[in-house]
Amino acid sequence: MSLSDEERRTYEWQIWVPDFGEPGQEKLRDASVLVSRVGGLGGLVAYELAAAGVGRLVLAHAGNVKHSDLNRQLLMTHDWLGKPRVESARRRLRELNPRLEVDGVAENVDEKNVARLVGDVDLVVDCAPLFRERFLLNREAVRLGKPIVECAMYELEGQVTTVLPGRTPCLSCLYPEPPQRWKREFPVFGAVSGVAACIGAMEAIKVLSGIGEPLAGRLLMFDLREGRFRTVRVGRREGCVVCAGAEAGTGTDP
Amino acid sequence: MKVTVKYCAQIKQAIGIASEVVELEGDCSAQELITRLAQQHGEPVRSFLLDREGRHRTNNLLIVGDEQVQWATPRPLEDGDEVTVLPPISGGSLRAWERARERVRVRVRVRK
Repeated sequence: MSLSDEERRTYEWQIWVPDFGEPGQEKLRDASVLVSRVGGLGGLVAYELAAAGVGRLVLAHAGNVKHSDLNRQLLMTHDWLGKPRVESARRRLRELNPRLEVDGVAENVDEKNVARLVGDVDLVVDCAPLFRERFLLNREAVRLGKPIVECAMYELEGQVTTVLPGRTPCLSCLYPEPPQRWKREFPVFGAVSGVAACIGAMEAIKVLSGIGEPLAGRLLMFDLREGRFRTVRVGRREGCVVCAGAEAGTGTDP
Repeated sequence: MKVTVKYCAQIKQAIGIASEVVELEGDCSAQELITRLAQQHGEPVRSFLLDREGRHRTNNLLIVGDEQVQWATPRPLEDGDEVTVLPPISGGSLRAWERARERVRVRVRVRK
């Protein structure tokens, strides 16, 4: 279905982007994306995807808004303290884009819901803090052949990579086991998570619309303390228990 | 030969420096260099890089230049190489009960 006049007016500035155009916009409108957790990273990913005109977002995040969320979780508002995060997120996203379909799931990703959540969308953006959630998302996305954008941050550093199952290393290739010393609370500025999130959102837009070159088999690392960005090539790990048998060509084809 | 080693995220915080230049005599692989640096810097850096048996922690990404190196495949170093060690990092936002549960797990592990 072609774009409505309102959609053309709303997305005019990005429709001008070479290679994107109205066909790219239609692909975004017809796409669905799961964002795992809508905190400092995922909230900004969801906001950018909503602004860009992705048709449907599934947001998975348990818990209520608290004060310490507010330095970086831009979908959470002061007046929503103590109330469910996904509701705050849904409200903010719909204010920005009333055409957006939002499925807010007040649960974090776990063994019980991962198949349903990942199976319901075209692409996953992983912004979860716990490696057990990240490994579950990775396993399911690889199993279903769906692209997954991995976003992470620490202090003034961040990283983003895009997993295309069967073609690139998956999260388990990079990290064969859960880290031993992952500190669950860590220093970070909202602007740092925002940088990683915007890069992650752009990766999702690129993969869904087919423009540009995603960070497939490449890890983008940045250190905002020094103002440095670099991209390194990463490879699949022989014998990876998750993706060794995965074949390319399923899921969203960039 | 001289190589530059760059540390990221938690390892950078533990070691207290972002990078160092290391002078090496004779042949050395990137993997051997990490073992030497772990022993040289001691705790807590050692535990970030090696397990109790002295094996490399494969959850750190080892990068030479702009290319990841698999831990299982020795990568000979050359003069001027830049080695980066990148520990796993993640997203944010945990609920209080998850943090509490994690603290309990840590205590249980310590008692063992």
